[in-house]
Amino acid sequence: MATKRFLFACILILLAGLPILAGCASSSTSSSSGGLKAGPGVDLNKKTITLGILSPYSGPVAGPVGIPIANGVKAFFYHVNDHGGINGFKVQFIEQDTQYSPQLEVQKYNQIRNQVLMIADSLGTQPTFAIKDLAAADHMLVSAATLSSALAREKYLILVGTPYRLQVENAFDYIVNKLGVKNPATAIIYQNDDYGQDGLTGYREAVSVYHLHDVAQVSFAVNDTDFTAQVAQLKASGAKYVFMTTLPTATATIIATAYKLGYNPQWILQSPAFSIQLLAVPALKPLISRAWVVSQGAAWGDTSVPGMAQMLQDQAKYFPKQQPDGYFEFGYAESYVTYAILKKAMENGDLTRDGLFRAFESLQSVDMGGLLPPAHYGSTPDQRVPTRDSVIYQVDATQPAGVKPISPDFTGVAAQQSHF
Amino acid sequence: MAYFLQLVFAGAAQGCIYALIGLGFSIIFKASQVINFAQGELLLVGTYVVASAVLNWHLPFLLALPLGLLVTIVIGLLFERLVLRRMIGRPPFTILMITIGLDIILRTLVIVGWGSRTIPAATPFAVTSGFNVAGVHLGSSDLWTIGVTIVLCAALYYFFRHTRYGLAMRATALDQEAALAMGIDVRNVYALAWGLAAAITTLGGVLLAIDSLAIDPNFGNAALVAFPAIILGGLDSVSGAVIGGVIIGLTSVLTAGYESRLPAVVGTGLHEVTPYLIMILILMIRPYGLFGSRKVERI
Repeated sequence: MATKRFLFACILILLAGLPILAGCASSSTSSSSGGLKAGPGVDLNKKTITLGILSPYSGPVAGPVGIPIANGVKAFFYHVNDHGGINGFKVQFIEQDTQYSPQLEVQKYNQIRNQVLMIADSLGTQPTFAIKDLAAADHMLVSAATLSSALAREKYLILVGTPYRLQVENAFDYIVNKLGVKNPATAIIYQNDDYGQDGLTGYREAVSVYHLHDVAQVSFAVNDTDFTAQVAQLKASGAKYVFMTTLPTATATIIATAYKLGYNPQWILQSPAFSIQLLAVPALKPLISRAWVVSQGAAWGDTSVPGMAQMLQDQAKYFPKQQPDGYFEFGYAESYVTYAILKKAMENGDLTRDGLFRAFESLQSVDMGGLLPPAHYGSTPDQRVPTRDSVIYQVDATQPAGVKPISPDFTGVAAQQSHF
Repeated sequence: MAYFLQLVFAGAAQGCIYALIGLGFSIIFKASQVINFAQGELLLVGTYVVASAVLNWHLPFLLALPLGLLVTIVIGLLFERLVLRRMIGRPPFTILMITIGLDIILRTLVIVGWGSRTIPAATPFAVTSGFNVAGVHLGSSDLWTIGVTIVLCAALYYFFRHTRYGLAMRATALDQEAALAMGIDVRNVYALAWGLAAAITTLGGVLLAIDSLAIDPNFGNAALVAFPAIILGGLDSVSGAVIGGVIIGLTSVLTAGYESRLPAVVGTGLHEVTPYLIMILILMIRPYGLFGSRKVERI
């Protein structure tokens, strides 16, 4: 009986102590020196700031997307470190391989959450979705390499491009308002997942705003290998403009199937639907060359924008084996925002997570050296959408990036009005 | 009508691909009672080898294809000889887990060797080659797929019925101990089954890639779609794998073609679940599949 009472008392003490322990865990790393408050991941003695990178370093997404983006982030901060750091503080990274798996992303996030000040790169819609609530609970800012509209609303997530939904709207603004095509017969083909749903939402908004003659909305499964049924539907619908919220391999098969069936509409590709690798497919090259791609930012090597020369120098210095790659550029560009937040927080004398969040909300606008259009940030979901503009590119095998712009950078009527 | 016939033709061609991949599963299961979860990655390796042979080493397609088949046959034989032969008599679950291990190893090797980007697939045909009949396009690649499947099925029928090795395989599948007693070298039968299955699956993958034009390391997932086909046909039935594949291909493509005419709540993505719905329905009526062997046990 005495033993039972003792055990009960121990449990009570432990339960009562848990909140205190939890409080210690979150505040134990908080310290201050010389008027600078520091949170987790900041070492005031060694003058280092540790940031996290959660990215696929293995698996199918690693090579084409994960590694180039992470390299872009690291190249940016290696340059910063070599030029004195941020007010003398050097930036270092803890990198974790998520394999593009939401489960692994959560696991890796939990491993590093007490060692980093913020996440400088979290790749992918699904993996980032998995950690958004954890990050909010930790007051952890996460620079997310995704253009998901759903994630653009999140308080602690930082996006740096125009969400997919608005890309679709801008594409149809181009057709109706720039090319002057009234009531065009339009359709969308989308993959049946979150990415596809984002494209579909944008398409439906565009149909309403631009009075499009919507003739088909066709979906396919991510594992589908034959698209005859979907393409036959598009052909039967008579759509003249077909938007594709797809990934490159599906893009190739869909366009080839359509050509085979004698159907040749104006294809408009969501930014992830295109890969320069598609131009290496000999049979596809002539077919895809009429297609448009909706994206934004400077093409690789375009030194007319101020940030390009520096990025190319840093790439040559720190990652000489890196091929010209839009994803490297994306990682480099998103780091302008992370840098601006750290710099502002440093100026405010508050390198805690809450200090970083206040710095982020006060940024208003961040110039990314022209690599991407300036991003704007505020406190409401609508204000957290960083950019709403797009450029329409035509696929062109003669260009280094495989595309050339056919429109200026613009924000369409629907994208301006769209609420998040 | 042309719309319907176009879908039927596409479904038949797609079904033949599933049939070829399903045959690979079925032959191995019939001979050794092992479900080979590395089947998709054997297909992946073979398709990448053929693509590289054509596009990087500039071999003609008709030379590249046997090279791809040879590589996967060697992988299949080595795996059977070095790993599975030591596992004879172990629980099926252990062997199944080993095939999952092989699956991961092969996929990783493809990513290390070729990278994880989309690469062009090898194709001997121009995109538009084929015939137009009454508004239906009969593409060369689809016609070849159907033709190759028919010829291969006939050849397999002959092999199993009228050749020594075919009879040995059937005998081993029926009763391994009795086959041993009759002087059949069961180890050779296993090896033959793995080699044959690897080759047929690779052939299915190469034909699928011809239509896709581009491949990436997820290409091996096509084998997962073929899985309902062999369960439906009966896991140990070679003819069941073929008929199951064609049924799944036809229903999948026809559902995809008509699902948009249904209310969105029912229609959206219906073709993704149709193969599994059919599989469940058939298994409820015939738990051993359409052509699978019914197990008779003494109780």
